Amino acid sequence: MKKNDYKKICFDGIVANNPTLRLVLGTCATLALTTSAMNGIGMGLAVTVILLCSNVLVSLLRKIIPNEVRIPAFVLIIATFVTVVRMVLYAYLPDLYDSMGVFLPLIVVNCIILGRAESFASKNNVPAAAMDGVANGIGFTLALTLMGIIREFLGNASFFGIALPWDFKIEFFTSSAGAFFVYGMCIALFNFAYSKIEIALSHRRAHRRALPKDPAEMREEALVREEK
Amino acid sequence: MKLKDFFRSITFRCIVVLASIALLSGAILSLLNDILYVSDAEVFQRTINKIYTDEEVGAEAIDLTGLDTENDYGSVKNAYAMDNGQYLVEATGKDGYKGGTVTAYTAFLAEDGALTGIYKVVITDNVSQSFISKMDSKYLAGYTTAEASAIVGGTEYFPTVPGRTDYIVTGATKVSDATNNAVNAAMCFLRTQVLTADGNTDGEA
Repeated sequence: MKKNDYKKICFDGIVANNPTLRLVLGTCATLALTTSAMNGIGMGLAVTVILLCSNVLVSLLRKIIPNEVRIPAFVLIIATFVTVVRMVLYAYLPDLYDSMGVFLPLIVVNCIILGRAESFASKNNVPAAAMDGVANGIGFTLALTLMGIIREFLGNASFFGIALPWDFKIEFFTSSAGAFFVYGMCIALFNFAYSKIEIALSHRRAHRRALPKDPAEMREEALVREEK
Repeated sequence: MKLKDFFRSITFRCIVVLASIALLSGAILSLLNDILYVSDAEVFQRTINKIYTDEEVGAEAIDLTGLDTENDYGSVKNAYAMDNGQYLVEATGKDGYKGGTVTAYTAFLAEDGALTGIYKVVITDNVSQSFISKMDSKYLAGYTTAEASAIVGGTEYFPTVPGRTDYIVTGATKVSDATNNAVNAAMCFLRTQVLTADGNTDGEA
């Protein structure tokens, strides 16, 4: 796999196919756990670790697991890692464990993890699967953290748990309706910005194709042709 | 199908692969469960740290043998006499959502053998209370107000009857009931079993 392929996997996971803001996956956890930025980061990191581990193991076992039982096998692998993460959080980060509540064990059925295992890790080698896991995890974490910051800032007048000097807060943003509102706005803004960047990039590519080639580049191409 | 064919079949391979993954997972989790085990003492210490965030307070367990730990509001699991003169009681309140329960630690302020108020309430567990997240710190802070202290200092209990307006969370009335009952169960236990009329305030039966 080339260096450019890894770059593409990274870009896809974080931006082009961001699981939360582009594919709208893992919505339950996104809506429920973004009442604060720390919760968002905690959930995002937990999912990232599980994604990385499950993707690596699924990729390693992709030639051993029969196609007929691949989904139960993936769920078994994911459930194991989720349980490990739960144990580690309960032992070392009990506050985060408490704040995640029921959504921590529910990571087992998070469609981002199962989706990446099924569509990517089971068809690619270990380094690519690991990169895909990390990239999607970072994309998920960034989206949750962004939403957590907005909701905490507007709903609780605090930033990462630190109270702001003013007491102006809108309770709506801490409610479920506020979560849907912030999620919708984030999706709209992200997709608007992404489409603008995509249009700008396609214009630049078209412009480059239209330009006459650099003489040095042309000489190199001629040499390659001669060698062939 | 012959036995030999079965062992060569995809079915057998599927069973072996799934069983192997399950066995390996089980072995890893058993090992980690032992390594990452959190003892009851550690869990209790965490709760103490949640309640007394600013100071380090020692706790002496009250012997529940011979005391009536069941009352109309629920049941008492553990009770402690704290170094700072407070009482900490872990109680389970009944009549929650779907007949479930809420378990909470309540730290009571006491003076001259009588309860004078509540220092803090921390919910630690629940059964079937899907709206337990609505019982946030703002709601629990309601137990430490002057109005709440008047209830604790008197002979009344926190209301769990329909029509009330205090000590409930809209949309989670039954969970509020179970939480109130957890506090009431602890309060009832202290009033009737520990801080009895004969002046026994050191927690011994």
